Amino acid sequence: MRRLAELKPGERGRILEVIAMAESLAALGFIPGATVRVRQRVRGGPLLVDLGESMYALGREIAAMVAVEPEMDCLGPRRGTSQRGR
Amino acid sequence: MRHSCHSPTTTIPFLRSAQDLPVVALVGNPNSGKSTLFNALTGSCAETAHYPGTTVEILTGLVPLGDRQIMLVDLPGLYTLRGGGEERQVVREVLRSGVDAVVAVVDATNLARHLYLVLELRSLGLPLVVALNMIDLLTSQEGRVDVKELERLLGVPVIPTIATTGQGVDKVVQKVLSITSSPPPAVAFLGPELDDSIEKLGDALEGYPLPPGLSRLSVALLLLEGDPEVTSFFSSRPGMEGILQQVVETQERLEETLGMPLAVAIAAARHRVADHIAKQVVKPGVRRESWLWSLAISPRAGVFFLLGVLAILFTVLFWGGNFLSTLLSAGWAMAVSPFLQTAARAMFGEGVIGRTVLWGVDAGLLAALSVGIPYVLTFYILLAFLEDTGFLNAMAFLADRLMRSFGLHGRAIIPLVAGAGCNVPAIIGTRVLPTMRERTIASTLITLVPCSARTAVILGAVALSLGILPALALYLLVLGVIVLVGWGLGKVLPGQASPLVMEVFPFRRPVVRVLWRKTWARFREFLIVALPLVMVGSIVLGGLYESGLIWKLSRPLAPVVEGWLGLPAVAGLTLVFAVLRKELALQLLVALAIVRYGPGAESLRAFLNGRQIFVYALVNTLYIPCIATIAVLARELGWRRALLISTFTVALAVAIGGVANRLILWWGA
Repeated sequence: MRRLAELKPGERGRILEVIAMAESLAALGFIPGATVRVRQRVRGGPLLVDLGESMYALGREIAAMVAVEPEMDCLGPRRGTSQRGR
Repeated sequence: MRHSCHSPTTTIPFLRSAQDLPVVALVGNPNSGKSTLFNALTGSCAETAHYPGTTVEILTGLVPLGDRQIMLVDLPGLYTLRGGGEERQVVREVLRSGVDAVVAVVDATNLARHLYLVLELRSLGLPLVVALNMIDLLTSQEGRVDVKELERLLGVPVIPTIATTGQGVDKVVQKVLSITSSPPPAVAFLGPELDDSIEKLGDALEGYPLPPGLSRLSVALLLLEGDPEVTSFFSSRPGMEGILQQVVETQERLEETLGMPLAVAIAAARHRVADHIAKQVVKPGVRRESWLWSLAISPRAGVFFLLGVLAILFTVLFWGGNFLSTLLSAGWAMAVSPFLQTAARAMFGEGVIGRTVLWGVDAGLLAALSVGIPYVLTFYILLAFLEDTGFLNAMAFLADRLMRSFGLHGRAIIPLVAGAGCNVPAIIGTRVLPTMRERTIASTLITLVPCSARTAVILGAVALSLGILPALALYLLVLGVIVLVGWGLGKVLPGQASPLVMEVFPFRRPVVRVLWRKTWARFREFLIVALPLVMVGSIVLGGLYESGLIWKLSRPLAPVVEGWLGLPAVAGLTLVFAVLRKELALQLLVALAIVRYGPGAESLRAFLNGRQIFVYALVNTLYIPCIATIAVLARELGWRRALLISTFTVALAVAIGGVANRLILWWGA
């Protein structure tokens, strides 16, 4: 298990648990089982993540509160967009 | 109650007007095109009002429909009805106050996420129409939506719209009128397991009093979600222990089976249903991102992009605004001033009263307009452009780290830089910040940013008489003060910078008509707030001057001005007048100096030494914002904070000016 804040640009993770602000993040789609992809990160600053068709800027301290399981994505065709929980 | 374009800040008699018009609420995610749809339906004639007892602004407008009218209410954009915060509370209250219909605006290119809010609305059993907006964008991406199937799955009418061109909006209104009398039954839309539990709890509510306008099923769901208003409806009444106990038991049982907090589980279930519906009806398009957009969000190249946009913003406001302002002042002096002077003399005579009135209508009006049109209007156009294209959020993402060290949200970068053009629009621009704390910090810092009027004094006094290096030193000093004050306020004010959770939109081509409407609505508000205050302030100042009281009043200031700051008394007086317009200080100083010392005093060096010129410009830059700025501070933050900030800046200016005075003396300059 890792934290969303630790993922590098281009890496994906499946959300295991949102530890803080769970309710407000859940409304945006940050729910256990959803897949997020880190698109950009500002050194020492926020992250830009893809979730479904949406893109969110997340403060580092928030991203550190999202537990994820990194997803390997090296094989097979690249999925255009991530999928939410199924 | 008549709706006109001229009284935009009234309190809505919520929500029934005297004419008993049908009330229709617009709800949608931020950037769903909700406000554009509102504009398309109501035209430019809308009223802004604070929801009673809150700082939440709500727009209302009338939509003509044959011989009837409906009152349309534009509610704040949100992702969910649940949770804290004034805005969401207001939306919940309005929706439960018995609106006749609700229009949910959704983005067809991101249907799954937007359906989440629609499902929430459906669980309340409101008369609902879905406006499937931005359908043109989806088509251009070669995507498609099966509207009939979407209607069937949601159980409410769905109308494809293009808010930017107005296409489909008439159909929305017609549909709305046809459904007001027959709301669809509430459906929880959460999947079998949760639906069953909610239904069971709903059955248990049989015979209990319910909050108005809600069905048993809706109430059951809201109780399980922990909705504050519905929960307190029950807990505040006697004899409800049994049902509340049952709610807690159901919550505990579900949390145990689902392995997460129930509110999160419900949100997750709702997302699954929204995803499922979207998958069934949408053939997704292919998104193409422009290279400019990729550049704007790249952490390295994006910084240059950010600097570029800020430079353009600064240049347009600073040079462009200054140019327009000079032009306006010259035109005013030629065409309007003589007329006003003749009129004032004819009505009030040549005496003190006539001249005082002229301060208000001539100097005051000009002061407000020469800030308003060149700076405020220009800034609003640029801000609307940045918002509507999506660049504002992209820039906020990159600037967040820097702003955070001041305890601010990344979005604060735009108003802070705009402050260098003019403080007034910059302070209104702090509305893009999420909390009052951040708006207070940002506004305080903005009042310290040398606007173009103060720069005119710095250049006209310091750079012209002492050279460019002392002028640069002054700027650096002010910048240092801003950084220190920002850091200090971030530490001192209770609370923390709100964590950054912000949707970043892909670049969208702005629509000129929509930009203009947005700009005009904001500008009109500025005129209504600032104009009267600036004129009244000018009349008061003019009265003090014309009656000679000002000389008496300024006598107690002498020890500070002469002793501590080391300036001649006449300089102190001009600083008082600069409250009207900051660049006036210098013009007045020269004018009064000629009166006092006779011809030859045109050059500042004739009666001020280098130290005094520097201190004078420094104090003028830092102390009390001008009247127009104080007016918008009061409007945005309330009078108490406006006065606190103004007092703080005076103290700061006197302290730093005095220290600078001593230091330069000690240095031997």
